[in-house]
Amino acid sequence: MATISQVFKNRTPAPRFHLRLSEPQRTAIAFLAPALLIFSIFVLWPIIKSVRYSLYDWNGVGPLSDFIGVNNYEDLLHDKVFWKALKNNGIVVIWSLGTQIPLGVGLALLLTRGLKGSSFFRTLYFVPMVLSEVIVGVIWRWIYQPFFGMANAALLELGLDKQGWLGDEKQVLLCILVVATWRYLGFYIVIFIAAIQGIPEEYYEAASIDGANAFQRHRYITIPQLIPTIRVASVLMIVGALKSFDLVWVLSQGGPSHASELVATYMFKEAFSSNNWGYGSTIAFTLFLIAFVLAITFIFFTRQKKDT
Amino acid sequence: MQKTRKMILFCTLALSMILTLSAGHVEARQSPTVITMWHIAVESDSFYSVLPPAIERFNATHTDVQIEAQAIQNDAFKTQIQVAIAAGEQPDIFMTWGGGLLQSYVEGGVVRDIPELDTELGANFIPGGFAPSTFDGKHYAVPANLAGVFLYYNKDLFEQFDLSAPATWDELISSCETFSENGIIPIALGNVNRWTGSFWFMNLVLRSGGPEPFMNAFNRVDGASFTDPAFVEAGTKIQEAVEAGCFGEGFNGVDYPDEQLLFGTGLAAMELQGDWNYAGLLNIDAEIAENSVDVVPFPLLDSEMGDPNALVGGTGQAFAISADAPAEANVALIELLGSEEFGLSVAENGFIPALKGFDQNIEVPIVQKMASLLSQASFVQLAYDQFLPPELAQVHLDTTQQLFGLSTSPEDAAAETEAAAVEILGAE
Repeated sequence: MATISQVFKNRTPAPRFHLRLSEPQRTAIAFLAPALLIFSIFVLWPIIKSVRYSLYDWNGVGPLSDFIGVNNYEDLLHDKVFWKALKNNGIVVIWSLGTQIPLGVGLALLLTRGLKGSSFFRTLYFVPMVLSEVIVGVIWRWIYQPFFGMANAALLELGLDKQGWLGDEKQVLLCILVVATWRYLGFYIVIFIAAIQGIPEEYYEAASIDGANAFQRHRYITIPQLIPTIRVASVLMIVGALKSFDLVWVLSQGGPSHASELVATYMFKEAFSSNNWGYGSTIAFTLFLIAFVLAITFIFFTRQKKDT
Repeated sequence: MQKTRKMILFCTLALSMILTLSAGHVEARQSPTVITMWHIAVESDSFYSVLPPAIERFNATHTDVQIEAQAIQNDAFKTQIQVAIAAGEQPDIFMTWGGGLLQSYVEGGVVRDIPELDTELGANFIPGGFAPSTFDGKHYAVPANLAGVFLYYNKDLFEQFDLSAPATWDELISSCETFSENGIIPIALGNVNRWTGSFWFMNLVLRSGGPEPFMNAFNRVDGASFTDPAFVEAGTKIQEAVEAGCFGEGFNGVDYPDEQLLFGTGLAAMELQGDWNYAGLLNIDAEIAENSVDVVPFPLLDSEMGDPNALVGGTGQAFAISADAPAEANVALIELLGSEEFGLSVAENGFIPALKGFDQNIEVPIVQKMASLLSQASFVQLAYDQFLPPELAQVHLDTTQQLFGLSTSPEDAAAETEAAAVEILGAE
């Protein structure tokens, strides 16, 4: 059996107009075909279809007949709600990177020091991750409920004013971000713990012998050793932030008045509530392009690092 | 060679025999025509005790036609039916609220008209029930029940503070202030869903300008627009109520089930909702719902102005028929929803029948009151968000939510709606 890399090494220049493949090549095709087929049907084909829809003014009923070229894309450029949604997605990315990485690394460091009860806390932080995103949303809706929710009850106990939480255009996004962090932090803590445990003990011993203090050991050993993991976590966060939908949908449906709108929720609303399927497809494809470009850029940069 | 030929001959004969046999088999069995149907009466829905039993009864009494129904939860249904229609794979019969969305299906050739409703077969239906689904004089849906929006109030709470049910806007605001001072939520509103807030807007437009401003603006009559003073006035009143603390804080982040809970448990004193809301109140706390809850028409803006008999409402659930459904579907649907048993079951379960002559079968006094208010109505305003084309409906819902959130002015909200109307409906 040939591995994929062997396949490419063994590749001989294919004779023109003859479909004669070497044994390993045929094996590779046979093994890749099912995945490729599924990928084509469920990923590639829908993308092609939505590109087509995005060039039409289509309400999802009847035939595609109203071809309008790139009109939808022009509208998108001038669509205030779209830019707001994109900005909100940006805020989600920055917030995730800015809170979950420092918090995740910090808590992971604490939890790997062998303190009493650290396995208990490890489980505790991971619990929200086991819940489905919709359940998390429903639980937090109740916490934020302005009339009988826990959040306002706590404020009242402390003698503070009640807040509107999800109903307040200025607070809603922050409220959702807190929930997102609560939900995903455990996952990143686990990743970072695994990475920290993978750092050879000898490094620390050597550093201690050289007289490095605890801060220096973290600064010059732990953090640099964690960089690849942080990079992977960042990619996950960015992709997650761009495609996030469920939590926002359950908590606020992107409202009030688009204050917590994300590109994905806006796309859903345009396609399914306003019946602008053409425009919805335009948003979907634009989101795909953004995610694609970001992912490629990230992969490119991570590769550069490996080479040097 | 010889062998191959024989083989081919044998295969052909065998195949033709199998085909003949199976054809005979089909003819002999005479299987009934199957009509597929999608509705939203899932087990948690209050219509569950009405529709599925009716379908069972229908299937038990018919041998030539059978209805194969699938219940889908309300919100999921909205998405699923859109996808099915876009793919041209809608069921033969499906639930609709009529209005702009149904009209787009009519224009797209997705549904067909139901001329049988104009014959003897449709004579049992209350004519007003056809209004949301009639375009160019043709009926495109069969209504299952009628709906009206009323101001629910908690009699006990009102008595406790020596208040009477508000008949005018000023009374409403002053009772709000009293409740607010005493730590009671004056009005329950869950405006995440936005149609809940739209009920306030539509009622206020109706009270301040009557039916004309909306119909004229929609029909793009010369000189009429969504910037009509009635729309601005409605926005102003909404913000007046918000500023007086009528809805409490954070209601734009509360959803309809929580709104129902606030009123149903007696935490809030009022709620503006449809008749269907009552079934939910009964589920939350039957004692409060039966003893303390009452309804009144939406208050007048001032005692000398407006018609208290004009109300917001229309059909509750109605059913449309796919253009490529079997021919039997029309009559089957009318038989399903037009039978005496069905009207009785609608009434007995606390809904307002779309059929004539069942008002006295409504046993619940409050539902009876709503049914009679609806039948005396001088005008029934169909809900904007169902009546308008979907895209414009969304603009209406968004701007109304912004009005409630005090993040836009009544004038700006009106102008934004008008701008969208020009784009979607055309200039005047």
